[in-house]
Amino acid sequence: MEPHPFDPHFHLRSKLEEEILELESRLQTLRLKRNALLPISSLPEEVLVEIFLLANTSNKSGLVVSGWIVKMGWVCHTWRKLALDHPLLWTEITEELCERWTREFLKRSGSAVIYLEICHDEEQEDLLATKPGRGSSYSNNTSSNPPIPGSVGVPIATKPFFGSVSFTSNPEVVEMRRIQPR
Amino acid sequence: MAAPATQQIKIRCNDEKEFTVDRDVLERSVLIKNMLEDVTEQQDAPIPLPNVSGPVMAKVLEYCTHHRGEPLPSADTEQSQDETRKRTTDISEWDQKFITVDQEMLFEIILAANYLDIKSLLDVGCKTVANMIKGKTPEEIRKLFNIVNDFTPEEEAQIKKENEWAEDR
Repeated sequence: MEPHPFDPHFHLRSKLEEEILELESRLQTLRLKRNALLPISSLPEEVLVEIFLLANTSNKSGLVVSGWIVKMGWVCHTWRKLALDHPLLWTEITEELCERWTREFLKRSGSAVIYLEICHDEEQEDLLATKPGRGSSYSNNTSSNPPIPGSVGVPIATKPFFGSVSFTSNPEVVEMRRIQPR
Repeated sequence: MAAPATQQIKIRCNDEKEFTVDRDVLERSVLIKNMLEDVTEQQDAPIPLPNVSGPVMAKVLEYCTHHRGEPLPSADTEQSQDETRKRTTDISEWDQKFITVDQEMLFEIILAANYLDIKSLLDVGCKTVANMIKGKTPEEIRKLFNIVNDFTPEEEAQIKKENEWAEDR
């Protein structure tokens, strides 16, 4: 950017701004190092993930409510990385999730087993149908269940990736069960 | 008739502190249980535990002694996985009292339980930390664990955007 003719301090100011940025970057590095030395930072990743999952039992079935995971990622750099990148934290898709959250869960859960609470939400069903390789089997042997959404339906004989599917008949969860992997 | 004598096992912590403990108490630890099963002859040398200090081991043994004789959690069965998913953070009264320690000790107990593979103790530790952070804001969590904000300006900007997202589920 060219200096304005009536701005005699342009160059000096730019130099100071550069210095400020450098110092801020240095400060951030020091804060990172300091946090890494805290007692809580000694906990291994898998233990912290378990704590994150346990810390949110607020909804009716004990499944993770979307916003909670993201809020864990607002604590510090390390927690943020874990909260956003650990597939296990993104495997529980509930009826409460809107379309963009369902999309986000499917993306971030990577290749991990996913757990579904299925409801009659066409948008969510359509989204799930875009991932046919991830959901492939469920059992349905109770007459109280609503019909299985056809869009999710992929051949039952293929290898399942769902840990469980629960059918909801608003407002109550009818059933939850685990699908036997083959 | 006298009850059969319980086998005593000696362990040595990373600060050279040694404990002599009944085998069934020590076998709450899957790590030690497996070690003992691998040893066919009786050994006098203490089992070295390089990742646990004496004071932490004393607490771990207090827990194991209280819970001796209780069934160990089964292997990763279908049912237990489902149970795991129905999470609760309830802790029994005795465990609650036992785990009322300062943060440093709490994290050390969790690390020891993880290393020694004592699942029930690890659960108690994780539930305790989960209960500490449950319902708190990120700022309150930072304060609780003495964490400072170490985000980059880019992360800060991203977090501002996410604020709106997180409210919309």
